[in-house]
Amino acid sequence: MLATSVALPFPLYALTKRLKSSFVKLFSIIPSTSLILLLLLAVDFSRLGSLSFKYSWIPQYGVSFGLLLDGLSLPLLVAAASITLLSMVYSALTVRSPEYYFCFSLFYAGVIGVLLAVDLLQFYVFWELMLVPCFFIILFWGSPGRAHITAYKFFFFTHVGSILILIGFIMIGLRLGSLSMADITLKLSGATDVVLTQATLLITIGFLIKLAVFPLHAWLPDAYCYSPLPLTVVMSSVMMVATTYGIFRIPFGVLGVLASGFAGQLMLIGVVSMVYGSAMALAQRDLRRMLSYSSISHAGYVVFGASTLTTLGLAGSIFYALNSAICKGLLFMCSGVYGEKAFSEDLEELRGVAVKMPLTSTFFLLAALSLGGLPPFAGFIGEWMLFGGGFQRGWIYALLAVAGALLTFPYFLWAIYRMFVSSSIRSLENVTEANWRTLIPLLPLGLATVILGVAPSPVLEVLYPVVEAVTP
Amino acid sequence: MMLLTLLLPLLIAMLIVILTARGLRIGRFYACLASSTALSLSLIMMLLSVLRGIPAYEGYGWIRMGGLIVGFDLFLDWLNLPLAFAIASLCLVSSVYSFEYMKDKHDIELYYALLLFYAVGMLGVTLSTNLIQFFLFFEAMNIPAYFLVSLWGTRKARVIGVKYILYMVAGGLCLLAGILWFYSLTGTLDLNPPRGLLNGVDAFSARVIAFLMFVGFAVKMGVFPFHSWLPDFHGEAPVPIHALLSAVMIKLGAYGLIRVVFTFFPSVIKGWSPALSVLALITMFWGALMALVQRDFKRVLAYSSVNQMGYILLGISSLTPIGVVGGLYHMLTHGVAKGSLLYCAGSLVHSAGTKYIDKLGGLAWKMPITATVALIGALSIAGTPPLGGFASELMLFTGTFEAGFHLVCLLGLASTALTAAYYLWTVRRMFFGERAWGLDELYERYVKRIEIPDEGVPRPFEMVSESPLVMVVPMMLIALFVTLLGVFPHLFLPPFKLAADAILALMGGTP
Repeated sequence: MLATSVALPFPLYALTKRLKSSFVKLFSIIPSTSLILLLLLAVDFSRLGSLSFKYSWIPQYGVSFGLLLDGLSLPLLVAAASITLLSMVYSALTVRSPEYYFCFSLFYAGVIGVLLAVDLLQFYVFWELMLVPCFFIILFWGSPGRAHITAYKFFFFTHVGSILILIGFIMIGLRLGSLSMADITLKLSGATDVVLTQATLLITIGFLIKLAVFPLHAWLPDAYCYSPLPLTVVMSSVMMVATTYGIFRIPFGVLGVLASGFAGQLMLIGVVSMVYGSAMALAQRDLRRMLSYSSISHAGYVVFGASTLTTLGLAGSIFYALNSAICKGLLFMCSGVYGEKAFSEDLEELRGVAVKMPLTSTFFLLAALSLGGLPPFAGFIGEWMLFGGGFQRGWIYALLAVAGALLTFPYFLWAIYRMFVSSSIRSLENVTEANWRTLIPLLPLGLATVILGVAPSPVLEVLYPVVEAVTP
Repeated sequence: MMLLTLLLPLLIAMLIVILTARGLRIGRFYACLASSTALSLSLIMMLLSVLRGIPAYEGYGWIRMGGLIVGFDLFLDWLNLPLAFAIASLCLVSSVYSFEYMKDKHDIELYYALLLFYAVGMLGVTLSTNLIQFFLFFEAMNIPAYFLVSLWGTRKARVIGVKYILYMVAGGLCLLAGILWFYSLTGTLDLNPPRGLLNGVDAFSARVIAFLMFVGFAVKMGVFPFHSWLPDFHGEAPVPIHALLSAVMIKLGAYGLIRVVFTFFPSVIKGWSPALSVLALITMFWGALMALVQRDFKRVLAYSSVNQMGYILLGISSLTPIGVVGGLYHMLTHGVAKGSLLYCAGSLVHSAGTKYIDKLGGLAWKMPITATVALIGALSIAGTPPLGGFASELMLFTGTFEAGFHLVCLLGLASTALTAAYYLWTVRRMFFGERAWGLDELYERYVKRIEIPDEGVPRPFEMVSESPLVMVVPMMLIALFVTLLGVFPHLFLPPFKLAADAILALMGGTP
């Protein structure tokens, strides 16, 4: 069953590529199939606790191809599959080229592969599979004039990250003689040495580049702003989910003993990133740029929560990442709707737009409040849990982080102020509310952030065993 | 039952929002009817749950992860009972009162929906049983408050709303840091924690946590160095919302202070008691002096709230039984009296079209009921027997004296004279004295389109008349209640006495 959820995309795009452009909607079969399969698997999951499947791939070097579905990958997979599905539905209204959806599905296959991998080499293969289609989508469908430079910048940065990860994997493989995650955990069991620590450091830096944490963030704002919007939606949500998963699974999960050595520095990076992203977001006029910088800030939260190395902090951090994927997807979709219906994504020109587009603006408000950490939405749950973990670890960093959080809300407040409260500076006569086809993909995301805030326990209960095992 | 107290208004508010967003305007009458019904039902639900015995308790699950359990439990004991009832009833009164007062305003359905959200937020704060749930409501209620004032406020309300949210988010983060730090040391989030919780906690951490939490609550209360949002935000809020802000919302800060900081950190608070009294005194004087120099009636009332929060802080920080009872009772008497004054301000804006004191004068013969109610409210807050304010102020000053803060007590009494001064002077200038030529002038400027005030439609002096019954009846009921609070204090005091005893027992139990 697990095998099909990954294998299904491959024949499908070979098939769909031959078809006419009106059939591009067929591509949405891929994420919907995996969603249905995931629902079926969830039944098994609730009985067994975790599901795995394994066969030998390159036996000479002990490389195996396997799939693992546990408490960490299940919620993230559900989120990734649903957001991909929604953004496919969303982009079906604008883009009609089969090649575009071909790349899109490849990217999705990469994400699924990453989330299910049991072996470091397998993880890396899918990791690269995630990167390459993104590059081509930006290159061919990005904003005219900026697409080339953005695509190469994106490729350069993330590829350097991938190579660091690969070097780290190879160092570990050579040292321990195995690339299987389960074997590595067994063999490590308390042992530390210089090579392994360096490898862990390299891997962590690789992931931090992809997560766009402060000093390694330079690719992100451009990539988010000049990509076609549906790609921005999935990069800001699905790709971030995959990266978060990578961080939790490999440096903190498999190599937990080694990663705990530089948790303090990571916490500091997290705080700096929080503050930097928020401060830059506050200075933006363009809605999409503001959201891009806020992603840097949210990456800071996730890193901070993870590096507390407490059950509360780790669980909070994953929950926060999950919610920020949902809300970021929603916010970027909203920004697309504004661009289409209000003819601008400039926050100044969007002043007073809420009167004309109440539904879209309500979704925007929900997501902004949730990401701003205001109760009663899901963002608040993640935020207090990861700060709570911070205090369990040590109050100095935690106080710093809370002080940094002071900056998180103002930029959303400023946007909300301009859209809802302030009066418009230009004529909004031609602005109308989007039709229901455009709004349908927004609805489940808006509901999700409210529901996760009211009833977070199901997700937290699923996460708990994994987080408990990771906590040193 | 208690869950329904929160759920009913919440669901009705969501229904209104959804209908409005879909473009279905239900109209002023049905919006008012829906919100008033929801609030009355939630009052009834609260009564029903209390009838089975106090403390009433209901448990529901919320966050569960391994050993971490954060419930969504609700309870009512003697401390939060009067506050919860005051919130629900005043929201109901404001909802009815808005029917006429907000008659010509835009998007009235949304206004009612936000009013309900706001009511749910405030009720949630009082009913909460653990710190995370408490914080959730404590922060969540700022969202509707922000929109209510930004969208329907006067003059610079939009900018002032931003100031409010920034103050609240900053205060909230201090509180959150305190809560989480506390949790990391003790492992409990319960609002009624077991005794001897802080035995293992070092004195430094305890002090910093208590300070962080105090700042969080002091921002909400508007205590002196953190008060600057209060006059602006209150002053420009629409009157029915201003009534809720002044009469109940800022009391929630005091409630949090006494429920959380006092009972969690008794030894720290005992050490700080003199300092808190002095801070209270500064707040009292600052509020009173600033109130004296305002020309906007609503700003007078806003500064008076700062001044009166000082009284409450003075009472509870005396840590003597009678002082705490006085402080708690003052929360009720001031809330009710301030409510009556605010509804009078609304009546003035509605009938005379202005809230500026220098434009008004001699209106007592035109608006006799408004004038009477305003006088009763003003005298009560100034501490005149036999009104409600006298009873509570007498007790809280006695408590301060008993605690040994003689000088503070004497100076506090002196500030009462200032309170009486600004209130009586204001009432005299608005309702008595010579005929208000300012009103005619304002009307002339309005007719010639030179100046269009955004709070109401100006009328010439001769055409001013008493406000409609929908506004006057709630005012009269509240004024009656103010009088009852002072004439028969023994009817209302027992819950406050029990609450104060419980708190002092909790504080005395730990070293």
